[in-house]
Amino acid sequence: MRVFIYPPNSLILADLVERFGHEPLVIMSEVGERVTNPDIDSPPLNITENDLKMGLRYVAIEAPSGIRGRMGLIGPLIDQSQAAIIIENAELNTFGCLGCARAANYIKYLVKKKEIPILTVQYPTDETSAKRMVKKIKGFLQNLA
Amino acid sequence: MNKQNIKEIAKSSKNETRIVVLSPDSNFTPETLAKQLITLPITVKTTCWGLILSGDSESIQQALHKIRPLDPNRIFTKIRGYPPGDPRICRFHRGGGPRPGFHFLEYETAILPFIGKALESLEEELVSVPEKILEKPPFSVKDLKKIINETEL
Repeated sequence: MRVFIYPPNSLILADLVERFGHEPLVIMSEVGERVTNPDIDSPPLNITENDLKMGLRYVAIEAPSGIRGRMGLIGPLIDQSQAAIIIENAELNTFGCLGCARAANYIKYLVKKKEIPILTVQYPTDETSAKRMVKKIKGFLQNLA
Repeated sequence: MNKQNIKEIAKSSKNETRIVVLSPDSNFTPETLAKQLITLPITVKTTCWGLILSGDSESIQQALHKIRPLDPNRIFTKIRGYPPGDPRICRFHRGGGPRPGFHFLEYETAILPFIGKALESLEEELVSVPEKILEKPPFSVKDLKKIINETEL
């Protein structure tokens, strides 16, 4: 099954989803399609107006272009998803290249609005919480099939 | 050759870039993993946290099958968008500073030892749990009826 993960660039979630036999929907594959395409329309990152138009399917025209651009990449992933795993305390993810707190809230809202199985976990801080997290994810993914 | 043909050829070749991250508590080094992949037709770049692999997706999967069994609970992978050494994100061309995405990778790498231990504990459970379940006799219908009658009273 296609499993949407949040943060969509998470190494831990992408690896665990693949490890337990499902396909993770990650933002890196979307970025890879754009940056390795030989027909680069808008160098250097090839984010074209089509991506912004795609973003308008998810947010209003008044939304800042940053949110529209991010939703243009992440929105189609949410549409394809058949299940989702969300890490709630990913505050670090509101900074950096993915970083937009509003877009992050909107992504979580869209996933929760879609009627698919969702697992919410926390980033582990010690061994015990890591065991709890991995056990939850394993159980969730095994019950999906 | 028109633009459409170029796009189709690019899609059919299915090039993939992956990062392989070694957990900090692993006994392996990126160089020892890279040596295992010398025979495969892929680009391998060693970094401080692991490897960047680039090539056609079949060869990348072969590479992962080769290196994963070496330390299954301490080797983690994910897809990467940019090919290795891409000037758009390479620090050399951007004038220094961490590459985009490095801080998040660094944050998650610090958690990887916990995840590795959790995966190990799952394997231990898989060996021990079924035996315990088989030892217990199934709950009898008589006992269940007894409980129901007691609660009704």
